[in-house]
Amino acid sequence: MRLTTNQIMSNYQTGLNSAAMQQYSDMNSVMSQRKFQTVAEDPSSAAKAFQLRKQSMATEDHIANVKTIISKFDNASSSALQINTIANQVSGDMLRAINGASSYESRLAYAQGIDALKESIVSSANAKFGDSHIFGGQNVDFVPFQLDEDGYLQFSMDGENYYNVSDPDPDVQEILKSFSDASVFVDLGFGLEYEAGTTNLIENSAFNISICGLDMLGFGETEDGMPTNIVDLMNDFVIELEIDPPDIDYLNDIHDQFSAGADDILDFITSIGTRGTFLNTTQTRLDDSLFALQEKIVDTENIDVAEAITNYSWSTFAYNQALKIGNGILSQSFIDFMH
Amino acid sequence: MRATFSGFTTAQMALSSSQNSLHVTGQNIANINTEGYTRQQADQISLNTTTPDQRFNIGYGSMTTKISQIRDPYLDIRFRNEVASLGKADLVCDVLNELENVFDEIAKSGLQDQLSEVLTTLQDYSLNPNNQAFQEMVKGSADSLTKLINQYAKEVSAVRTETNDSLFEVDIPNVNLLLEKIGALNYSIEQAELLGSSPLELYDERNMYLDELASYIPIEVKTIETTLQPGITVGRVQVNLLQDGVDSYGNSNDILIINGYISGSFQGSIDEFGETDIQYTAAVGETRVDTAVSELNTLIENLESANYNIAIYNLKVQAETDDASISSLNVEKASWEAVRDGILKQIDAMFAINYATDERGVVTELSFIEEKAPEAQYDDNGDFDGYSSATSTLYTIPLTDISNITTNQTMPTASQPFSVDETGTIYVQTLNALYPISNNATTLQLDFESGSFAGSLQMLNEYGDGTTFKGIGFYEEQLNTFALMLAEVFNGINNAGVPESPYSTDYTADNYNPDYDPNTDTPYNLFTFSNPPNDDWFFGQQVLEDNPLYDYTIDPNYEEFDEEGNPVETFNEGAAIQYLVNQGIVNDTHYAGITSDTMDFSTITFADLTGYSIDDYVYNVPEQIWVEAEPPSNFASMLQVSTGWNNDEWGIVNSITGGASGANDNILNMINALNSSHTFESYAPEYLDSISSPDDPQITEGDMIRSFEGSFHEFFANTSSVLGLDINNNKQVLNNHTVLVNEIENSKSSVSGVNLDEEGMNLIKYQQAYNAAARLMTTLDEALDKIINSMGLVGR
Repeated sequence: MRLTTNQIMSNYQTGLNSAAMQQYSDMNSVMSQRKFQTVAEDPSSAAKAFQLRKQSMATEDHIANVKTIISKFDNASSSALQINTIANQVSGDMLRAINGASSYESRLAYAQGIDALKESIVSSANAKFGDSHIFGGQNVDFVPFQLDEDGYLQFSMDGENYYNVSDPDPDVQEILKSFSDASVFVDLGFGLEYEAGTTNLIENSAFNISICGLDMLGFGETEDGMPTNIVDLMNDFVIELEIDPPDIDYLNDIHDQFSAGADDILDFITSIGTRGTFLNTTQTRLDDSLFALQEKIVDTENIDVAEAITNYSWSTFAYNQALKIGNGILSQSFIDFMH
Repeated sequence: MRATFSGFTTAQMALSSSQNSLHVTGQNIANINTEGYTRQQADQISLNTTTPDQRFNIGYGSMTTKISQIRDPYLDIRFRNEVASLGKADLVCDVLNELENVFDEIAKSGLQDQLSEVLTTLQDYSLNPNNQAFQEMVKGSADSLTKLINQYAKEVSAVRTETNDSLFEVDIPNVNLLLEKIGALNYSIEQAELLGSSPLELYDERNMYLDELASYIPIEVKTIETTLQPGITVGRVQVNLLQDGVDSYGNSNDILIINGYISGSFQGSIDEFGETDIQYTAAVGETRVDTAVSELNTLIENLESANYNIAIYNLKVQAETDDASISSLNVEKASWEAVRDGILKQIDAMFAINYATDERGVVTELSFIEEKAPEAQYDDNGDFDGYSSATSTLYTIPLTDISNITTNQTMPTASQPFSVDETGTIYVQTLNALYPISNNATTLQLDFESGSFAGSLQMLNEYGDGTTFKGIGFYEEQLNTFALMLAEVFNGINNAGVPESPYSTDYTADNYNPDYDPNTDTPYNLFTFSNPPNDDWFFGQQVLEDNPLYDYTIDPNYEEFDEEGNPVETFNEGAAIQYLVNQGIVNDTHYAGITSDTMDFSTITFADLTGYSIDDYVYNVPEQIWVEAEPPSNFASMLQVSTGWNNDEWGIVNSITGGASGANDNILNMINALNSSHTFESYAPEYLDSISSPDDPQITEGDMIRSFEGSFHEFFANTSSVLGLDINNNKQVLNNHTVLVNEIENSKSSVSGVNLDEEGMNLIKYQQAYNAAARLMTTLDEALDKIINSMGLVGR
């Protein structure tokens, strides 16, 4: 094949340009620390990277959620413990009022003390975390608990309709039961699934953050018609103490029921603790997932520095050699040697 | 006997030849860097005469006959074919790279990140549903998302505009200029050739322009020997634009775009559906119509000169028109009959002239029909008495005015009945009048297989329907589909709690509330589209999308009466469905296991339709078919956060279960909607346009160009991946073509390029030849000197 001067120059130019492009590309890899700069360079890795990034961001969201919820549960646990402490004190006061107070005045003093502690329990049950009431269940905006004129506890979901927690009316109890059961689910990365074709959430696929104070303080009545709610029990106890002479057997019954209620608070605290432990485990799992995802992202998108620098050095060398060759082949022709 | 001084002539001619070759070498060296220059050489012959009675002939030296170029035409053909493919791939890559700047989010933050941001704010809001500040964050994030989608749409639209502008304002004018330049060069070359010279540099220039032209359009270059004057022929260059396939006569559809120095021009236009077209208009006076007319006349002349009484019948002239311009002329003659010496001659010449290049134009038919064919004559006894003469009668239908039909015209007796005037209008001469049968300009719709025009059209017009190429339209539609789905899903979820909402997530005819009045009832839409074209347009709802039946109303009590008031048809489900199938409103694939062939329309009921809940609906009075609303087509650029949400007239409906202030079930629905799969159905823009006319609702499932199952993230990531893959593939294609073009370029250069080493050697070679010739002259001089000055001096 005949080789012409411009052909040599043109081919040399093409080769030199390729070498320069390669060097530029390797330089970009080193500078950006990325294996590929565009999707087109490696479509399958890019598709994988998009997926990993999305998962990573979602996991970060879940971690943020779980942290917030852990704080809420810590707060709830702390308030519940406070209520438990008060309940223990009330239990002691009740025993002393039954057994140790011989005079009407001393019983009245106990009655006043227990009444004050009742207020404290209600205040603690209305505690807030941020803008939200902790023990309102699904109700976070409105004060969930209040005392009626007679000193009995009421619960509300909307701040307008308050229901006596020990109201014997089955309809009211049904409503209170629905309040107690009302849940607030959040997405913690458990899949968030719905029953096919419906908007009914599969509960295992999300986490219920609703904490209803009704479960802590109790609602409804025993078979004997005695309130199970400790605040109402305290109120009944105070009313009885204010009667002279009081019905000691009745007071004992109230105290017994109160003790059972106080035990329920402990169960409630244990339940919150269990959920808190679950949240901590979840956080650990999510942290691990995030770490693994970020590792994968690095593997997928980022360069192996040693390899990238080696590539860059090699392409620089190749480019320099191409320049040297050019100097050799382009400078002379037969004409230079003619006499 | 050779003349004494003839040797001097030999030496002088050798000097001249060597000098010429040296000059040519100099020319080659001088033009080593001239673009398109082809290596030249002086063609040298040995000069000799032949005299029969001589025993031997000594030549008279050498002579330069001409200066020629060293060029391989086969390589030119290969180069032009390949450069056309390269031009197409190059343009496609350019446009895809522009799109890459919009869609490639691998190294920049973009729509996918913003989607995640919306998700994050929704997650935060789900924990604090009672806190307005968190909803504001969702709103802000959603607003950014819509603005980002608007921006993407705007950028894609800019890519379309730039591609169109580049085609219309740069490429097409450039090609037209090239056609003119090549035509002008052809003229100059013909003139130079007429004078007997070889304008080599003009050949080079023309070849360069032809190579450049080939990068825009696929061409074939032919040289036709044409007689300009008696005894003087030139090679006239014709350039054909290659077109797919053949016409109904088996002739190539290629279009002659340059014939010598006459060429037409290309024009670009955008049709009503937004599709870009390129047409070619032939120059007046040099069209295939001219040739057709000439051939027709020649045929008639030939027949007449053979003393045939010509009768033409079943002659059909078809002209394909486009916008009243004749795009081609087909002359299809079923048979000719002629009578000579009283004997009927059947001439089944099946003469056909066809120059059709395109079947797309509207066909207007022109027929010439012999009214009375020759027929057998019988005498009074019933015996055969020969044939009657053929009478020559024509029907003509001028194509320019269909109402101007004239019958019973007598066959023309003029020797050249067909003619064409200076405007290109064709006439046929009958005895009564001269009828125009076409108007002038020939405008053709074109298809381009390769070249940058093909690349531009592909990028501008292809929507990725099925397996076809994914042009700009694909990405526009992806964004539109994304925007629509976003609005539909989120508006659906937010309105799910609204009693009898027409916006629920599962939007079927069942839960559609026909009493809904968009003018008075306010839907809690989170997203709307700015400047919607129609108030009835349900924001976020793709009308006609899934259930075309939904958009049609059928009156079950419908009855049709004839003129006497008797019912001619009553409502019948089978007939209704048949009607819908026939209209293409319902595709027969919607019937489980039933095809239109096996379907018994008399028994089928609406309940047989799968995928549709239509029992509660009434359907099908053909006259009452109406389209719900005309949807806008550029959703992505119009998507915005609804004014109501923006002004806090309504907000996110946190719960649809009647929960308390902390209930967040609907927010979870939205979180789920962002993560879960949806069916993204994309439609071709033509579809959206075609339903704009309620009288002609061309709605078939085929108009849905693709369907994607996945989440919002996946949908967009997939779009990005599709683009990445396309770029990857096209770069590979481009590289392949580049390598091939470089190889051919190398081969061309190898044949036609200048090599300095070689030219250096030529310098020495021709210089030595020159020196030798000079030495010959000196030798001859010395020899003669001996004779003249030294002879006869013996003994002196």
